[in-house]
Amino acid sequence: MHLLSNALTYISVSFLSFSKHIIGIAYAPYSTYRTIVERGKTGELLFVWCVCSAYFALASLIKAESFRPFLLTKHFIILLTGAFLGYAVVVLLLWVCSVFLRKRRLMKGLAIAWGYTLIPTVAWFFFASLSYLLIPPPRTETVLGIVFSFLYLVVSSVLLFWKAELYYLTLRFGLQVDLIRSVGVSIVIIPFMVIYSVVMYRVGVFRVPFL
Amino acid sequence: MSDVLYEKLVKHWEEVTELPPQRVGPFTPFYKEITKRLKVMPWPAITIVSILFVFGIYLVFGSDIATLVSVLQRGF
Repeated sequence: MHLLSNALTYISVSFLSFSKHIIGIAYAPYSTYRTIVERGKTGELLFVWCVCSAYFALASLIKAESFRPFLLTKHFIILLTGAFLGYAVVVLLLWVCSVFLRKRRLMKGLAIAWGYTLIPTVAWFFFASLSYLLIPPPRTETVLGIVFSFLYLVVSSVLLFWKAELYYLTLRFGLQVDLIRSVGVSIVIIPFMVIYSVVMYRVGVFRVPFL
Repeated sequence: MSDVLYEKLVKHWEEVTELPPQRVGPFTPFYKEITKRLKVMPWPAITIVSILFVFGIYLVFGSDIATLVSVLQRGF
C-alpha cells in the first residue's frame, strides 16, 4: 500500500514536471533545458512516450487497410519499437560521447533531454497525419497547390528548427560542451542517425525518420 | 534580503555559472545576437527564418515544391 502510494505520488509529480517542461521547451527552451538536465525526473519520459504512443495509435488507424485489432496492434508495436530503438541508440551514443569527452554525464539527464526533443518530431508527424486526412496528396502545381505547399513547408521548417534548437540544447546542457565540440559530437552521431533512417525506410517502418 | 531568498539566489547563481559562457572567437557577438532571440519566445525568429528558408527553396525548385510536399505528406 505504501509502495503504491509512493508510486502514485511519483507519477503525479512527474506529470506536473512534464506539464511545466512541455510549456517551457516552447516558451523558454534555454532555461527549461538547464532545469530538465539537472532536475528532470525519469517519470517524465513516461508521459513523453505516452504522447508518442498516441501518435502511433493514430497512425496505425489511418494507415490500416481494414479495422482488425491484431493488425492494428502489430503495426502499433512495430512503430513504437522502431521509435524506441532510435531513441535508445541516440541516448547511448550521447553517453558514449560524454565518456570520450571525459564529462561523466549521467545517462538520466541525457535520456530526459533527448526525450523532450521528440516533442517537435511528434508534432510534425501529427501535423502530417492531419494534413493527409484533411487535404490528401498529391499536390498540384496550381496557385492553391503552391500556396498550400509553401505553408506546409513553412510549418515543417518551424518544427525542424525548433527540433534543431532542442538538439543543440541537449548537447550544450546534457554534455556541457561548447559549440565546437557540439559540432564534433554531431559529426559522430549524425552518420548513425542516417543509418537508422535508411534501415527504418528499407524495412518500411518510417519513411521520415522518427528521431 | 531574507536567508531563504539569499539561498535561492546562490543556488540559481551556481546553476547558471556551472557552464562557462559560450565563446566562438571573433563570431561571439553574432552568436550572442542569435541566441538572444532563441532563449525566450523563439517562435517569431524561427518563423521568419523558416519563411525565408522556404522562399529560398521556392526560388531554387519553383513549382516542384508541390511534388516535395506530396512526398512529405505521405511520409508519416
